[in-house]
Amino acid sequence: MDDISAMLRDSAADFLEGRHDLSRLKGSIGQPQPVDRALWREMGELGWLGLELPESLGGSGMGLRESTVLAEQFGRSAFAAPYVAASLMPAVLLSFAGTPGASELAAALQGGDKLLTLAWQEKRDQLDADAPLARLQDGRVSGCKVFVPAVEDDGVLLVSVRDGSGLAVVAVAADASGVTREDFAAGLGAVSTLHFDKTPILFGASLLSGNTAQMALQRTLDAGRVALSAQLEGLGSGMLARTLDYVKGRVQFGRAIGSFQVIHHRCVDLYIAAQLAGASWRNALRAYEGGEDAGAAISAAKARCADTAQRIGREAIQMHGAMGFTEEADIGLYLRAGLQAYAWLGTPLQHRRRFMAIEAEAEHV
Amino acid sequence: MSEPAHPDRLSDEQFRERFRAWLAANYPAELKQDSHRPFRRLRGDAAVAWLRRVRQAGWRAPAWPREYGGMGLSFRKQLIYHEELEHAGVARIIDLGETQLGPTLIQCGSEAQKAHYLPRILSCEDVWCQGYSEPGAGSDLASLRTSAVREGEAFIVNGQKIWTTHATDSTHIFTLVRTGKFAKKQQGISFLLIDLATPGITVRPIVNLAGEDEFCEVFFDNVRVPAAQLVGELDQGWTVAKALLGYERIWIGSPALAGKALELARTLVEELALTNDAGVMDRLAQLAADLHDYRLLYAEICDSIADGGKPGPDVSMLKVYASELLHRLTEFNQEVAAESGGIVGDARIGGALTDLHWQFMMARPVTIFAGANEIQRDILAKTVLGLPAEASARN
Repeated sequence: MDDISAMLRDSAADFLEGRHDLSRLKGSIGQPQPVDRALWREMGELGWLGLELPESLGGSGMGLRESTVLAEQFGRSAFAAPYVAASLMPAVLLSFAGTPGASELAAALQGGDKLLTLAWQEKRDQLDADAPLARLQDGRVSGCKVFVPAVEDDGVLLVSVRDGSGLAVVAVAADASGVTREDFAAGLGAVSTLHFDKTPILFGASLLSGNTAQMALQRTLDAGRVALSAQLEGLGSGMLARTLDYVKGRVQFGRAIGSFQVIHHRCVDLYIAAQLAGASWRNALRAYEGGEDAGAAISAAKARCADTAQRIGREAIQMHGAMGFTEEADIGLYLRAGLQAYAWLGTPLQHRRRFMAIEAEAEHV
Repeated sequence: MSEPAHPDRLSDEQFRERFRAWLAANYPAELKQDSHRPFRRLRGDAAVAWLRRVRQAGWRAPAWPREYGGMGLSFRKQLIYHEELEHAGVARIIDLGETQLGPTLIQCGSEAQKAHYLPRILSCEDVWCQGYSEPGAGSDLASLRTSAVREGEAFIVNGQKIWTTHATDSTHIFTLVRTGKFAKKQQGISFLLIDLATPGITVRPIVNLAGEDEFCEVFFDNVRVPAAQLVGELDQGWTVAKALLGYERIWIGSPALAGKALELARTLVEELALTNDAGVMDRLAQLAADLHDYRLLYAEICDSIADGGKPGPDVSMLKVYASELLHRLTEFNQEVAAESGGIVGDARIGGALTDLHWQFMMARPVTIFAGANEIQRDILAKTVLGLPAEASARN
């Protein structure tokens, strides 16, 4: 790990230690949770929002590597802020746009004043963003987007659409006319279904169009998957650490339950699983940085890290015993956080199929 | 062509290319690992013949220092060496003289022992097997009871070793024997070199589940071993034997065997026309992804050692994961083949001739030998996760 990454990791750990409190998330099961805007602004002040923005858009020139450091730490603490959805992915997308609108959005993103979120998905278990049904006509958007995270009333939606010539990405105010929204509790936050009926776009023009839009969306999804994989691995490692603490302290039959061989072996298997997950997303990160042919590595990582986080979560509940089934114990919040991240940006099943398809293609070349 | 001389002066990639070219030109095609025998091994005369050819060309003993006749490769180049053996389909050879005894002697042996034995290992004049396990000392190796009692200038050895791989192909055995009784059972064990031609030794092969007689029992009845055959200090053999454990676990954790089994799996689903069966293909995708990610973890750990680290206790996880992945792969192969998976011996599946019974059975012991996986998990729980020891467990 380089110096900048180590510094980021330490400052994230400090921040979470002081400012993150899981009890805030208790007592509201099933209610869509808004983003904690005060915390979000603090993250902006720390310089964490929009890390991937290029210097031309006022960014720091840092990249996905630094973001995965943060994402992994956020996972370890089950931190609810939608970092991947509302910071990393919009920043990667905007880095492809050169319009004045993009500069304005980049500034809002970095300061933490507004939440930007990408609305690309139109059906369940979708992997690719290159053929939206939502349409742009005469500066207005019509269509439907689903499972959109981090939608706030005053937020900005980056919507994939097709216009007369092909693919485009436009910005829309979340409270603009013609937007109907339904929120659902998901993970530790919320996702929304959005309907657009002749909704006016911001800045009077698309942010991205044609091949640039396609490449930008692909890179954005790729980057999001890598960072989400790191976050999922962090989530799993965090749950394992909590479980190890618990079994070392919990006494039954006159001894710590962590002294039983059956607990030893279960924990070892989870440890090995977490190590594989780490190796997998670090490989995906290198592949992403390499620029080309990253698809197989990224799909392998997303599948591995999602499966691993959920496996550790389920076993962690079991090893916490009855206490693990209560809302009082933090472990269940981790498991719930994992439920959303598990499927978002593609389920393990779809990603493993994509991994196999790319591998098979590579073999035939 | 392809002289390996001065591998230090070659870049890693140049080294890889040279070794690859040499193997392609020299390894006999009929001895390659293939879908018929994905884990093919060479033993006896075939192994010796190949190793002598390797030696002649200067590719023998990649890990040994050059002053002892090895190649003195960096750890990184050793990794490449092993990758290229795998890539070329070179059959595995259990050459414990090179991989275990040699490095042990180099570290702990006397000058006389090194001068006498090391050249003979390289030339295959001596072929070594390992005498550690006993009927009453398997996973609990420190309970071993084969005794060596000092009598003048010799030790008198009595007892029995078991699971001694390839003893019938070997000329010598390196053993752990009990030379003293102490409170801690790991003490009082000594490391002793024994010529299998010594009077009083009987070797009896044991046939395994794959139908091969590679295991043996070795009986010692008042066997007289010169005292100069002791390696290291008297009663300190446990430390001598443990010195190499970390590296051994790294090589045992190699993804190579699982890689061969996955190649066979890919061949089988093609030949069995199962590529449109989503259930089968999803299972195969899981296995392929498991191997893909395991290779990455293996490479990360090997890289950290190549960068100057030492193998830590966490290398135990490599053996655990690789061996269980090999189980799952060979089970997949046997299951998708349906009735052909029940054939004991060669079966023709489409265009492929393969012995599924053999690959399935040969994967079984990998989770058992060199410290059963349960023991490896005990080690990991204690040393890596810091979990408290079991109340009933004795050291």
